[in-house]
Amino acid sequence: MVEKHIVKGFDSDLDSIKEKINNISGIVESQLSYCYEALNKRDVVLAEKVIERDKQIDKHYQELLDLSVRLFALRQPFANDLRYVISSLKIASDLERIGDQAKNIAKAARWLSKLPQNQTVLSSDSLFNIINTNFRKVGNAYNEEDSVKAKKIWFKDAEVNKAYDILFRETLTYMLEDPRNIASCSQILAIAKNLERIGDHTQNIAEMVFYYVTGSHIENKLSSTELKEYSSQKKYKTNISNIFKKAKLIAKK
Amino acid sequence: MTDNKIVSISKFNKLKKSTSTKVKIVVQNISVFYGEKKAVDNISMNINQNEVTSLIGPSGCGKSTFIRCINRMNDVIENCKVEGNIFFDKTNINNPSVDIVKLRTSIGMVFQKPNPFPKSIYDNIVYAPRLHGLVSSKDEEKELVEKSLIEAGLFNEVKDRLDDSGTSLSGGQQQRLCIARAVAVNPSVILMDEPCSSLDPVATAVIEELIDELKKKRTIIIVTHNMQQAARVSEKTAFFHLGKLIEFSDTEVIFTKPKEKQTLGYITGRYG
Repeated sequence: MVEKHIVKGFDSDLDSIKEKINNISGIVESQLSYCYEALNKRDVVLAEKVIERDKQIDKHYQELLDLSVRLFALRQPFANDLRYVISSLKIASDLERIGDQAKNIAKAARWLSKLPQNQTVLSSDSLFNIINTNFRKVGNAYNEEDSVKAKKIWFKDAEVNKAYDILFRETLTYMLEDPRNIASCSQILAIAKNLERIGDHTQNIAEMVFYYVTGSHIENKLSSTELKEYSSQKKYKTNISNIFKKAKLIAKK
Repeated sequence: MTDNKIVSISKFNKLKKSTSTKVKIVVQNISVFYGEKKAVDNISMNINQNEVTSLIGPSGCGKSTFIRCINRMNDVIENCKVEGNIFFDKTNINNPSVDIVKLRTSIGMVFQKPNPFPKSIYDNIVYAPRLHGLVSSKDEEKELVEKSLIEAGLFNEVKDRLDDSGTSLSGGQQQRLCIARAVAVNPSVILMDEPCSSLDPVATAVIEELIDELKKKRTIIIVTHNMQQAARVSEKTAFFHLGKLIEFSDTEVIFTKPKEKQTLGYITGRYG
């Protein structure tokens, strides 16, 4: 939105919404970093901090809701302005949910931190890294109003699913190999599921950025080749029957 | 639909739309000059029957000049010259042989400021029908007054004081009286030049509701500065700028995803 409105107050209202989204996004991004750190260092204090900080996200979210209602009532936006406010509201809702997922991860991290330090815990680094990168990039796409970047991030959800699938398989194998791993692995599974959901919310944000900028829905703008490729990549590859076969072998031993 | 196939709602609406839409007015290359100055520049558009078409644009963009072409109101303006053709039910209204008085019974007009005649409510309505010989008895007159006032949504408010002066009514009532006066000669098209600009929000809402009723029988073209109003009442919207028709499309498209940058600038308040 390079061109300014004749009524300057309209621009400052829209800027307030953008500022608020960036506030929430900034907190959420740091929450994800803290989660990662709390997990890797088994840092209970940091995990508690993440749980406590979620309230800040909720507060900003409520403020954004109030700002948007005020803008609708006073400015009656049309066309791209209308899409901007609606999209920002939906993005804020996804950010708030990501905040909740981060809180869930922190709770799992808190649980894992209580395990003896010599007990190995399966790493979720790979999934974490993809999630963090996508989240940072989608924030840039929003600020730069870049639909091309948004589309690229949207596709990246297939990578998230792939990484989740690998972690899921690894976790199951770990549990089958040694039942003593079950306690920690069940938490890792919960973390993996929350990260996978964060991936979905990030994809939703990319969708909203694309919609705001172009006025079109991303899925309607994909070529049949793109759609086919995405669908095949998105599918989970874990073969449960193979895992059961493995389980039987282990049981025999 | 004839083969009784089950279709989706969106497809049904499309089918319904495509079969029910009929063009009422065809505008071809209309230009209007005030002396040397070109106020309207080569406008072409189709106006659909039983639809409301809104004309929006900044002051001086030519929308009022353009709407006046449709019932040849520009004829009364000195130094005003109109070029191009407007076909109304297949008759070129710019043809010199067209009877303007008759044309204006078919294409009525409501103006920005309510302008009832300084006569009774009753006489305001029967004035034109009497002039055109559309009523021949008192009973016919009474029937027509009642019918017109009902159509304009004013009957219940004035039925006991039809002899009161039209100018004694409130602004909103006066405007509805003007609409009743316009419909009394049964026009198939009603032109409205900012009909709500001098009315309060309640009176405006009543007129907007009335427009929705009127379009069932008539075709309406409305000039408005109020974009929310255009969005609320019309099926089609045309954006004018500097005498040119920049964009003409479904109202939903104009207010959500206009194709032209100038339209987007105007409707979002970035450009006057």
